[in-house]
Amino acid sequence: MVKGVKRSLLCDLQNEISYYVPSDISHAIDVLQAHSIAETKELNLVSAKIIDSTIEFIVTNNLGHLLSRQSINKFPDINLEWDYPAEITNCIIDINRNSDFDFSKIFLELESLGCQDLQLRIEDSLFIHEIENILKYADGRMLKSIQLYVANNSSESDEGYIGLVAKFPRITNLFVFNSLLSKVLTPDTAPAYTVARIADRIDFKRGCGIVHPDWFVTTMEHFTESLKFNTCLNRKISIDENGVIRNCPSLGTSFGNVKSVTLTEVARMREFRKIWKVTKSEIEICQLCEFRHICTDCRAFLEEPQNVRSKPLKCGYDPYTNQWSEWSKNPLKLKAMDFYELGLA
Amino acid sequence: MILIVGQNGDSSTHEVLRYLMYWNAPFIKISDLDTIDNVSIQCTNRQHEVTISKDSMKVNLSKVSAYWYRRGNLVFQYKMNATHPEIAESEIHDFVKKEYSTIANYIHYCLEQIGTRIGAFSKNNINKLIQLQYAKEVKLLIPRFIISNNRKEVQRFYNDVGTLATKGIGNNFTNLSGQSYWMFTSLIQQKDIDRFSEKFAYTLFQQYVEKEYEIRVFYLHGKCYSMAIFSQQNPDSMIDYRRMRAGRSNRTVPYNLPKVVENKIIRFMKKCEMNTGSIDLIFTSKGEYCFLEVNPNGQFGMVSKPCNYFIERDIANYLKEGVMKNE
Repeated sequence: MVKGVKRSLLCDLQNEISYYVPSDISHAIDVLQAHSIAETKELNLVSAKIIDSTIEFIVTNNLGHLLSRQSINKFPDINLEWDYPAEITNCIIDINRNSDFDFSKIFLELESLGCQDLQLRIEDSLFIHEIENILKYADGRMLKSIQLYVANNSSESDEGYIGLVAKFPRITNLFVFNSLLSKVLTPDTAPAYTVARIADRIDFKRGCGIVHPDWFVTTMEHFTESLKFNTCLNRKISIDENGVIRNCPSLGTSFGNVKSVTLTEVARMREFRKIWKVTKSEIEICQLCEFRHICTDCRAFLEEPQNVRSKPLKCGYDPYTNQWSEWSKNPLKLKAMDFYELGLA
Repeated sequence: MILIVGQNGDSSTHEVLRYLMYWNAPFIKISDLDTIDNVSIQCTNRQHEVTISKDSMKVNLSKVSAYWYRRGNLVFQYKMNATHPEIAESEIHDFVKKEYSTIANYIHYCLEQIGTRIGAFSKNNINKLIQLQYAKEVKLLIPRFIISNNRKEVQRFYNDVGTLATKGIGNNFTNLSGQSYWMFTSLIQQKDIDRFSEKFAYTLFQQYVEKEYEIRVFYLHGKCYSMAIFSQQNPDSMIDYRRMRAGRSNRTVPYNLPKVVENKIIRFMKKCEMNTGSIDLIFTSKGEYCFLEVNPNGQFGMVSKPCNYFIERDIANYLKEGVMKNE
């Protein structure tokens, strides 16, 4: 249960669902953690009516089971440790026509860092055979998944793009943006991958960082990681189209170029790892928000650009009122939007 | 060096391997997709040397200081298929196959002598009836059961204990014309017994024990990782928790097994000569712990993940420390 300033969020990490909990119920849950129902009623800290509705809420949502008093010590609190057997968990690589870095070396290094998930974003309209020339270096590496974004090349067909994915089994998604129409090219019953066309032009660097319930992650991994680390940046690395290594493509700080330093050197730099440890409990406003442990966060676009502990700019939620509003229409955010050159569309 | 024998595509095994890689602990994994294409056994009165090779990778068993038998078997190449196709289907080929299996058993035996070891091929198929016997010997409660092939006897047992449960005696899983069939635990009531023939194939009938919840224990060298499974809330899984519709899951949470029960489990596993396994218990409506069975190579991921136990890391660490101790 995560307590916010006005209400709490009960996260069922096994079923990946969260429940809003008003503060009187969350208080009752606290007392019930250590006492039986009868004892809780005797303590008189919570009204019997609240206790009954709390029990009903828990039982009907399969969040708990009624057991005898002796059972209490048999059910320990869950271990909230987070661990992951890799120095780097995932990596984003931006690519354009002029990117001339050594893909073979990069993929090999990512493998030795334990990186399993890769996102490639190709902003120019490369031909499929040019994309294949990059992907062939990922073949045989211990990657688990590759997510691929490519700008539409009007001389390539739907079949051509599907064929590309079929050729490289590690690709889980291919999005062809800048297409004429948005449509999914693979059937629902398809193999283990999706190919889709997207009509929009995607601005990867400035378009990222949106905080929205659609992106909340109610898993054990995410929740536990968020207790000690920044879930958006911890153990992640990115390379831009010129080879510049960063924590995230949208963040300014450069940690050198793949042509002159290795990813391993960068991944082990104290400065590079500093931002990994910025937890939600240190971020202003977020620290009072009930969503803080399922939120994706963003350190690239801040409400107050000069304040590293400022909340994400692209978050429209107010934990004091429990209201969501459109972040880009908020007059208080205009100054920061100018700073990041995020003009209103 | 660490040697792992496992099945291809097992995600829990994969996660253990990722910890080993993360710690730079060298290992070799042989899966059912790998074919051992060469075996060399050289024995003198003074020493013996056993080497198995796959592709260009050679494993000298004396160099293996930690061994994990996860599941599956070593697959040997029967060169005869290639060199003597004319006898590939003949009886002499069966004879050669038997010869190979003696060699395979010997290699498993050698592997089981390795100082640091988790699991054993030879304990892969531990007899369920012997398990129940051992459980009784260490004073773990077991459900009353009979094995019977006739209706009268089942009727008498039913009159005595009430509702019965039935499941496979040895296996719960079979392949029929290429299709896999799982045999779940099912309940037997009077109306079922009425439909029985006088005589039938030998079947196991167990007293059905009402449960408050089930407990799955993953055991590793004296340590019990326990998890409670609330299967009673879900009509699909009330009798057998594996029987569940997609999208509905039983609540599974970490559990503290009483020390006295843990000690019985440790003694039970010693009797079985097993250093790892997944044990199924039930906590009965009467508040007792009742032993059902041990599975030598059960899925520990299903305990590790919901309880956040990091069993994968503990297994990897056990192997890694074994190497440090022995090399």
